[in-house]
Amino acid sequence: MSEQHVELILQWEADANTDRVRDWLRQRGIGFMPMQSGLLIFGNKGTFDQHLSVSLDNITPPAQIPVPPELQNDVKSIMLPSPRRPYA
Amino acid sequence: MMRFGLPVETVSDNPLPREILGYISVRGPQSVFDPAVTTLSTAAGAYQATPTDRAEVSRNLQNQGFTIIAESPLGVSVSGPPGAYEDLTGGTVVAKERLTHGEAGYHFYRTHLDIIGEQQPSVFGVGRARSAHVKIDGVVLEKPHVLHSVFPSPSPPNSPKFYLTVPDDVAAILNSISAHRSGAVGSGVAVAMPDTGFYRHPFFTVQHYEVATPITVVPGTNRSKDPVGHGTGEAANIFALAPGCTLQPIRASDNQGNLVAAIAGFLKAKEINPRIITSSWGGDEDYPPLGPPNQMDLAIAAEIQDAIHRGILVVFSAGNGQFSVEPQVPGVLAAGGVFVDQNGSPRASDYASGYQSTWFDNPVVPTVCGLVGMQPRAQYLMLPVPPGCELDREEAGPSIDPPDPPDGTTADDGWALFSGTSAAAPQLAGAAALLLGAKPAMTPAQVIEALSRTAVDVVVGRSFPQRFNNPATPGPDLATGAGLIDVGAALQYATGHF
Repeated sequence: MSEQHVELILQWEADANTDRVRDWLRQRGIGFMPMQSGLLIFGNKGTFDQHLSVSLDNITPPAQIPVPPELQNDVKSIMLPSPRRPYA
Repeated sequence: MMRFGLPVETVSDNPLPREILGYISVRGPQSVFDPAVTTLSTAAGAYQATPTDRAEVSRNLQNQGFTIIAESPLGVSVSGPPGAYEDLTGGTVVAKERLTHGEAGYHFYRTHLDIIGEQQPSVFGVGRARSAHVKIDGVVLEKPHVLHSVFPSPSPPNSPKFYLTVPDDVAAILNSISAHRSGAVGSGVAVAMPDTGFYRHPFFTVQHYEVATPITVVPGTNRSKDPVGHGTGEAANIFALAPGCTLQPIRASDNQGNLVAAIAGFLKAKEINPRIITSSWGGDEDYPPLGPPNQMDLAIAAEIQDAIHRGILVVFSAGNGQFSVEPQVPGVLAAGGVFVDQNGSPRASDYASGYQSTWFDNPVVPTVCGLVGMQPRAQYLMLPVPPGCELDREEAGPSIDPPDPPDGTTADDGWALFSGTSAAAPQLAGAAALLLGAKPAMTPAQVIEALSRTAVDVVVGRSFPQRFNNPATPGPDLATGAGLIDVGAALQYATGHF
């Protein structure tokens, strides 16, 4: 389960230091892609469990998860979206 | 060797291996790599290199990153990364699929490696050293001994169920054949499709469809695989209407086939800036919605809207009973379902979502429809899939609840009967590609206008009754939007108006 790939949506605070957040993510091996209002962040579940101080196994999407204290000046929210599935 | 019109050699999506086994011949008095040589010399030691040259070559190879596996008086067997071979030869190592004889008389595509470049010999798998000073007269890449895939037939099997084929039935019912005959085939139009993956099924090869090497967005996944078969099968719908377009598959599934990176797949699709993005997936939220869209929905909607603002036509499936934000975003071409029976009579598919959104500007989902089967399983389109994939296995078995007989194919033949609004979205994307190929200056809104204004009105049936239950009625309605697309009429409309 810890190897399961997960994607989360991170939204910026106004006047966020986005470089600082990107560095924080990079140092922890969390991938990211820019979005209109923040970042799509992704990686395996174990990595998120370790660095977001909450186990994603205990969260039912869609849900907001706590922003790590180091990022609270720059990140308004981190959200676990509901799963997407093929429509077949 | 040709079989079913399959070429001896075709594109490979398999990534290069990290280590490639090869044989490197050290130059002796004679060389088998001389193009004029067609037989072996009988002279003793004709090809043997001097011990000094062999030692020098081995030393240089190791310095270049090769591992020496075995040595002989003629040359060395080595293992090395692709880059080491490229440094040695000045060529490029590429993977290709080659049709080979297999067990029990069957034919298979197997992945072979070649070294290509201006200075490289035309013989497959053979390279030439960049410099004559290195005392090497030939480089040979080992042929694969591992089977790449079983060989699915490029032609579909029969099924006792009523079903439609791709490309013929879908193209005929959606009226694209006359457009194809006039040369409108979607040439030059790039369509990106984030989905579970894409397997280069011989169906696509024999039809000469153009599919770019898939891109993956989940680390550690293989770009040539599609564990579910969904992306592969649905892609055939695009080409049924736009056989000349170029498909860029984006694999957003993990190794089990779960669509764990759908949003990343969509962002990647935007990055490559295609004319069309088609997505046959979505979420499922409460209906009627408990309130306005939440921040997550809005974040996804903002990405979709941005793609539309950049001139990309975005197609999303309406859902198979689901309610999700993607098809509701204003400007999206939302794909619903119409079932056309044995007699050619259309009705709203009871498998497809159809509703009026209370979000944004109250758009109707769907905008227009493609071909979709009926409940219980919508087994309607015979589509090519990776042999033995999830869809191949599941559709070949019976459904117990609700009861539905098997699709009549086998669990590992590389064909399965399925549909859903997952099929409608790529059909609409194919129709749009055909229009954009003929009229490249059309905007996404104009493409949607052409498809909507010319759609065939559907007046029978209801959208997914367990949740929406909206009737198809004369004129636009909440079950089918403007109705079933008519590609020939849409092309005429586009030609006359834009």
